Amino acid sequence: MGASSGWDDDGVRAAFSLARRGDVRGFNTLVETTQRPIYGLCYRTLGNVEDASDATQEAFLHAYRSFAAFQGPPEAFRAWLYRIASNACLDLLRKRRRRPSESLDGMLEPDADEAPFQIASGDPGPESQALSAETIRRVEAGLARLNPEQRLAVVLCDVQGLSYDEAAAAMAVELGTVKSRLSRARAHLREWLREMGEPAEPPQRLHLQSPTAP
Amino acid sequence: MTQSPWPAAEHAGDDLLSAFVDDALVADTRRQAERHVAACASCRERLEETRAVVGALRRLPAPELPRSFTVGPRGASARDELAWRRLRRSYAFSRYVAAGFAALFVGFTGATLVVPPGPPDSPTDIRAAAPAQAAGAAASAPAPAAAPAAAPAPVAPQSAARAAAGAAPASADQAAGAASAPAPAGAGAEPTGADVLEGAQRAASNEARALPPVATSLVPTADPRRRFQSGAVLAGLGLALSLLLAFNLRRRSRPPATAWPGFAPAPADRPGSH
Ligand SMILES: [Zn+2]
Repeated sequence: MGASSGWDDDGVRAAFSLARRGDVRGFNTLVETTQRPIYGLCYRTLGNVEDASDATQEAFLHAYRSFAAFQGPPEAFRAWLYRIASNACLDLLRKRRRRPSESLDGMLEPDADEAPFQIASGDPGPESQALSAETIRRVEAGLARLNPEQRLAVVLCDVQGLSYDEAAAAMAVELGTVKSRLSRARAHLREWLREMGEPAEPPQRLHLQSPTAP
Repeated sequence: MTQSPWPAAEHAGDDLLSAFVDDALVADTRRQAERHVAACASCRERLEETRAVVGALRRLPAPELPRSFTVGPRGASARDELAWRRLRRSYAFSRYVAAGFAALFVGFTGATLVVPPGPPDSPTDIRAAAPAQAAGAAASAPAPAAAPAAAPAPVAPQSAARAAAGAAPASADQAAGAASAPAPAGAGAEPTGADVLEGAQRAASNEARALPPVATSLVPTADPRRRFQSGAVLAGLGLALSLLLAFNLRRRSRPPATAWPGFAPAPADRPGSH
């Protein structure tokens, strides 16, 4: 996802310095430039509109109240927001873990009789290539099965397109922690999707060997 | 992650596959991985599946924004802000209602006192019994209270003054306390809202303590002075109650202050992607 979308914009810089002086409209311009990816992060991490809206709103309110404490340049604002939003998501997830909600359970139920997971090519592929509704549902169900830390890692890196470094800053963990959470999340998703039906179309059409267990 | 070369006999681990997909392996390790994957169908399959997973995650559609998350001038969400303003308007309305209510109550009580059944001691006696200082306090207090409430207000000060005028000094003070409470609130000074509420509550609890003797004195009695006392206390109680009602409503309408533990800004890091 556009790592620096809008941040070179003069308008955004102007809004940033307005916000620095405590101007709400300036801050709200920043909200408007960032709310889509921030909401996307919350939605993919929390799995439902209501929680995602709460976390997003909480994140922006927190950012607004502590904007004076933010010392970085405009370019770092997005990373700072990601961190605040990540915290808001984890807070909500911890609350929910204590009192599991229906929305998460709902996501866990796959429809057995629907089309298998299919992705035309093993290539990460162009964004233009749309996923089938069923694939989307299965990926979402797989995300819901991950633990919060792994889910956050994979949403930050793969859904939002952050670099390892950016994800590490957002989660306030070491780089190695990001990598291992990410690889475990991907492996779980891989196994989940395989369980759900055909995995991604078989790799490089093969030579005889039947798959052997590692 | 450690990128130590691994024995050719071993399959690639998930962390290695993950880094391979991100093209995040150092050149050496990457070459070895390529060699292994070329030779090992199992690892090749896992690698392709991992790629497919990453590809699917990248192509997940961005959810539609359910609304805008801009913030309001108070640092509340714009949506809360709107709801709050609406509530504030209804609070302003509730002040009119409360003032009207208080005026009615006081007026009614006053009327029953002024027209006593049974052998009348002259009503003028009652007014004559008023301690001057109480009258002064009561007369000055309700005025600012009712000022912002405008319309129904004028009824209140007069009746209140009349009611309080005849009261014993103690209840008169309480009534004055209750009546003076809304003054700062009427001026629209928000920070004092809590103080005002406390004041009203204190006044209310004073009234509550004063209640038992009142209850006994509510029994029909020929002594108009006593009836007047209880009437005044009742009036004060009614006033305090309606004020409490109004302020409670106001307090509920205030957006909740969300406390979030201190947060250290993330270190500035370079934007980029893997
Ligand atoms: Zn292998």
